Amino acid sequence: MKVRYGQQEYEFTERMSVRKLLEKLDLLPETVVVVRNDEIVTEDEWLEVEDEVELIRVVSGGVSP
Amino acid sequence: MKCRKCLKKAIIYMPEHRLALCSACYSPWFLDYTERTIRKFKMFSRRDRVLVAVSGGKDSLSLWHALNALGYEADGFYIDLGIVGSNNYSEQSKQRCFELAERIGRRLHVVSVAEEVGAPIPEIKDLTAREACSACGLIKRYVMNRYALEAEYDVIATGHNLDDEVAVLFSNVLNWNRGYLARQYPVLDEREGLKKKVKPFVYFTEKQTTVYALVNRIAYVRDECPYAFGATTLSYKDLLAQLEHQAPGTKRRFLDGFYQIRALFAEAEATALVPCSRCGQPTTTEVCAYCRLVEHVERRRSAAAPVRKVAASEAAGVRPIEHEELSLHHPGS
Repeated sequence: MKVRYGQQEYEFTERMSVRKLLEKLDLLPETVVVVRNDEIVTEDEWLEVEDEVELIRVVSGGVSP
Repeated sequence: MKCRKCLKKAIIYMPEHRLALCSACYSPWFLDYTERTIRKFKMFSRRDRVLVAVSGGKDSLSLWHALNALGYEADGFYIDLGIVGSNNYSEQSKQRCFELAERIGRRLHVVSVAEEVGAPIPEIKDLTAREACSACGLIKRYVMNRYALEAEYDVIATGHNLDDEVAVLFSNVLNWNRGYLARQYPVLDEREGLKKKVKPFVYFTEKQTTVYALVNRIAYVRDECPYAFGATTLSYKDLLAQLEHQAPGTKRRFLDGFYQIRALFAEAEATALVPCSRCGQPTTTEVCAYCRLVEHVERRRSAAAPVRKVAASEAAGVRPIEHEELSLHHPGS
């Protein structure tokens, strides 16, 4: 499974849940949107080895008071 | 996980609402929640002309899209910061705003910091002791307010979301910034030359606004502003995300709890506003912070380059482009 997160790319050889993937990458579910083969998925979904996954970071900064 | 409304496959689960929704049911829920927030805080009505501050990011573009989907008369206002970076940040951001303007058939006003202040943000950062975010915030607030007054809009809407508001609240409490606390609210009513300002997305998380943008295929700039890296706000957001993960609803309770006791800080806001002796905009000092910044930039620039450089267009006798001419006006608006 190919996983893209910003400029970084990862490859995993085993199927796993979205929740497990986020744990492996040390990401909180609130901070990313997970897109599997162009479809947004929830944490309980399973990701297969042939899937292409994109993690879209949702946090932006630089807010003034 | 199934959608609570139609039982199709969900695309998002929102633990703080204990609600899972599919792609078809998400936008109607999102729009309804936006409408309820607008009404709850009496932000504006369909008779008002709304000026939406757009940056090219997910929050502000989603807000502009949502307000138009709800039938509000909302135009966009983009401030070109002149940030290039490795990804031509400002140009890319402006492009995303124009794309949405064209799609929804609304006017986009564009103003350039380089034309307004005399230098783009990166140069202002180098010429002054200010952090880029601080100078940027000051300029945006000033230019937005002046433009809304001149173009006779009733209200300025910004895309600040729950995560932004909670991170700022956390910072203001940590530092006991009583003046900022007094002014932190989703609605700031019009007063003494300051236009009414509202934050209709104040109860949406960043994840929720991102999903709205993705579901509605709103193209936005995903890259972070190059000056935001290392911003304190980001470290607070990380910390708060962990708290929220452990106890969903923490952020909302923190913010709503503050709104209930906000009046305690009202005294700190009681300072009277007077017109700036240079530009006439409201300020608490004789000369406003914006005019002082412009003056500082002019002084530092002329000290660095005693011979005034004449722009190629000016030298050729070409008239500078006025702001209004940069506006994109569509027949449908």
